[in-house]
Amino acid sequence: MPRIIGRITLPVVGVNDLVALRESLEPVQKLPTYLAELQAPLLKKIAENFDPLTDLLDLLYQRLLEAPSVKLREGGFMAAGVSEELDELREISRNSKQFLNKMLLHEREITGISSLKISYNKVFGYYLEVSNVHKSSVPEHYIRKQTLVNAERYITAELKEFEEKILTAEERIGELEYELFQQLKTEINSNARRVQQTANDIAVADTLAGLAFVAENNHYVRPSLHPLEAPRKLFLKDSRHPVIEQIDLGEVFVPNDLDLEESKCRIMLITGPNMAGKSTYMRQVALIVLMAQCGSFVPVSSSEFSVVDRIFTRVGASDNLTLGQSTFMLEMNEAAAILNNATERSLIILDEIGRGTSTFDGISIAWAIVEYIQKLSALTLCATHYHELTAIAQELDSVKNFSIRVEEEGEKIVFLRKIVSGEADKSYGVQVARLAGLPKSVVNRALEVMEQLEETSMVHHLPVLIDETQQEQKNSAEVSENSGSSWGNSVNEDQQLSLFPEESLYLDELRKLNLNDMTPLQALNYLHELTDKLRQ
Amino acid sequence: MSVPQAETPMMSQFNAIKREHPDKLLFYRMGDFYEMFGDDAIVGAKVLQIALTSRDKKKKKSLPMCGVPYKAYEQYLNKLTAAGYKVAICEQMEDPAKAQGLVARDVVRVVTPGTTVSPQLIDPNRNHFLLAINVVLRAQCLGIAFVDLSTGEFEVAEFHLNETHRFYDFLAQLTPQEILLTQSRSEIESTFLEELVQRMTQLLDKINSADARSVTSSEQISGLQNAQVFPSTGRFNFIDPYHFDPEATQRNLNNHFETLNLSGFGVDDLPHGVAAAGALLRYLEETQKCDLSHLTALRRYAFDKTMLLDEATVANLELFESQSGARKHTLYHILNHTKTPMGARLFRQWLRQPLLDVEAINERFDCIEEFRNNFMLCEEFRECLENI
Repeated sequence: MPRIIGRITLPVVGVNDLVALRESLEPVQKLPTYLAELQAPLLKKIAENFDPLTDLLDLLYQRLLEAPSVKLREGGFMAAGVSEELDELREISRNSKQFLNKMLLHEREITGISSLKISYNKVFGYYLEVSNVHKSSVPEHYIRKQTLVNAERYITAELKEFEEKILTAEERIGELEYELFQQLKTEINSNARRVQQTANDIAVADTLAGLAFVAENNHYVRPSLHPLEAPRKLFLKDSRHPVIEQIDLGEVFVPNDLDLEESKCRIMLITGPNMAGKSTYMRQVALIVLMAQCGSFVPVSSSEFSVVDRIFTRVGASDNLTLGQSTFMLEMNEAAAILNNATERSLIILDEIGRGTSTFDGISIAWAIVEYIQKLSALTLCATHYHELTAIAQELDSVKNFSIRVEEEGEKIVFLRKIVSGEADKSYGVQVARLAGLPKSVVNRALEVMEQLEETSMVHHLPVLIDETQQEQKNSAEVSENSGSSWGNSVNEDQQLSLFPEESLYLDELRKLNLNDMTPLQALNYLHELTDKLRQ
Repeated sequence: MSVPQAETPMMSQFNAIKREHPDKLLFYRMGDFYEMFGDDAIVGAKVLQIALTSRDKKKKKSLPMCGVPYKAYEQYLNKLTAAGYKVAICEQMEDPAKAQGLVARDVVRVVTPGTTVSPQLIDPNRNHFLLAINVVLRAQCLGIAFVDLSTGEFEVAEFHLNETHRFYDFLAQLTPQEILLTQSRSEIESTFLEELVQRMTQLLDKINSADARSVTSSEQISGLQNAQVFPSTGRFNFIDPYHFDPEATQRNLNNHFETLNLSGFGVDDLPHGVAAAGALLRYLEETQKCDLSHLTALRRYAFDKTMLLDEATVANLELFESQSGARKHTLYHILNHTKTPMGARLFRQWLRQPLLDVEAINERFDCIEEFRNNFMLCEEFRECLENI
């Protein structure tokens, strides 16, 4: 509807466009009846001022035929009664025989010549023929054109006018209808503002009715919202992922809860194996908040939350390789954008932050980012498969550990897709690998290696990075030794061992580092330098 | 352009008109055809995949030409605008049968990627925006205005240069088909513009390629192979800085809206945005050469009342397209149950611009609740909308 108005002044807009407008205005007439029954302020306001454009609809019916021809230059679309001239022209072209008969009878009557005929030839068109017997009764205004043996042929001004009309009628009809059509377009266009307003009102009502429909169909619930300025809170009971729950995966969607509050828990740190549903859960939270702020009901059994000023997401690194940026750089770009723009009123979703680089770098970056966000005080969901990160919850009150429940049946695992409080006991990466179809021999070897690694407990001491106590230093010395021996089985023995003296130099440097004085970007640059050096 | 030595009267007419539209392809009406000549013909024949011939085959250095039939020109025009070209349509201004000597011709319309209103090129469920950016470095400000010529939406906003990220988020949200910029007047300006254009190109290329992907996978736009992939050249238009002149633009806007001043639109505090709106209007007047009366009001873009979603988040949350490029498993697809094209466009805007004001959100909730409590009514209402 508004699009037709947008195009209406262009020459390309034809009859079919206006017919489409007429057709779409028809049901609009019924809308006020429905709108009148609604009381909600937004709809009421629309109902009160709703302009069904009845006059335009009438105009279109009055001007255009019921089933018009759509050929703009040939006519056959304007309704009768619009223009006297047009009606007459059509009358002429349609009823030319009758017209001639009428004229013939009329002429016979006034001349009293009963044998008077009207005929046509190509030389001089229509003419009146009078036999010689009646020659004397011919009125003065007859103009003689031809004399035959026993008759005279005449024309009259009226007859010539008729002839002119009949011969040019078709042509003139085309022109005239085109003109009238342009007039109609102009008239409609002068109502452009009203049409736009009506279209806007319909759009709003349509959108709201659509949201009501989807809310009813998908069992959504009205969330209870707090203003942006209120204490920050995000509580969801039995929340579902609006998109995934609609896709039939042959698996019942498991609803999950969420309870973040400014004064209690602001950062939810979720651990658990890949594929368990961390990303789904975090996305669903973001989607629910977004839906609510768009005005939609949400897939929960109950919910209460404060409006957020922005939603930031940093989700798994996979895309955009085609653009030539390294995954890690891209990931860090996005992380930087979040840290630089987020406020305490924002909702932040971080999925596997720091995954695009080595474990060592990754954990450090993730740790620093979580600390930064904690200071920023934004409500945050952060998923990681770095188990080591869970230690951060012991240091920061507002960070709480959560995990996705996984049940072990022998060496197999079952995903329960349920978020529970507390960290995951292990990462199940190897089991997931089995599910993914990795050859059995590889899986078994992986389990062996893992056992050895776990004995050395190397990984658990990585958070040392940000601590400066002697105790930790001692531990890290142990790490070096233990790791060295555990890698004894490795093919790269020499390489790995030879790295250690140098590495400890950097460890010293790291210990001296005061992260609190650095921006995330500085920290990042520093880490980048460090990794570069280490790689050399 | 190569011009034969002895110009026929017609060719000199063509050349005169072409000189006024050097950056456009000229559709030169000759009887039942629109002809293109010279370089235009070479480009046109290539893009349209039609035969390139020449005016006089006997001469060695003959002028290339190609033509499209007048009766079916729109599809060819669409192909060219979709490929990012601007096309000037030059009509015969008098009946050739009655004309004495050479038929008078003039450009009656210019079609550009951002101003096309052809239904074949416009997705009925999306807006089609032309954006003007007024770079005012001394005020540290980007004044912007955008218009959807097909629906009459016409809005202004301003961004401070220290919040350019908001501008880029806004740009990603708008995804304009064409952008007007001022020609640079100084070195600082050209450096700034260069960077701006580069970042916008990157951003829009990313979005457009994603769009193109999802279009081919789900919907077919009739007969257009590369409809969404605009070469960056056609997307940006650099116009004379004078067109952004505050006073001239005010005058122009007042003339158009038949107002004494623009206070009634509530945009007085956005002078740079208003100047951009004026420049936009002038551009439309020059290219469209027809009635723009359906642009009935100037509105203030309410970005301070809505949440800006950055492109990464829109992609990550799969609001409008899934990572695989399909549209089916997206929030928009699940939630959009509107029945009219304008409803679909509005809902897309709602989803792209979540609200921040609880009262405004609750107003929507109240409506949904009421519709839901009267579900029969809601269903009848929606059935009625279906035919609009």
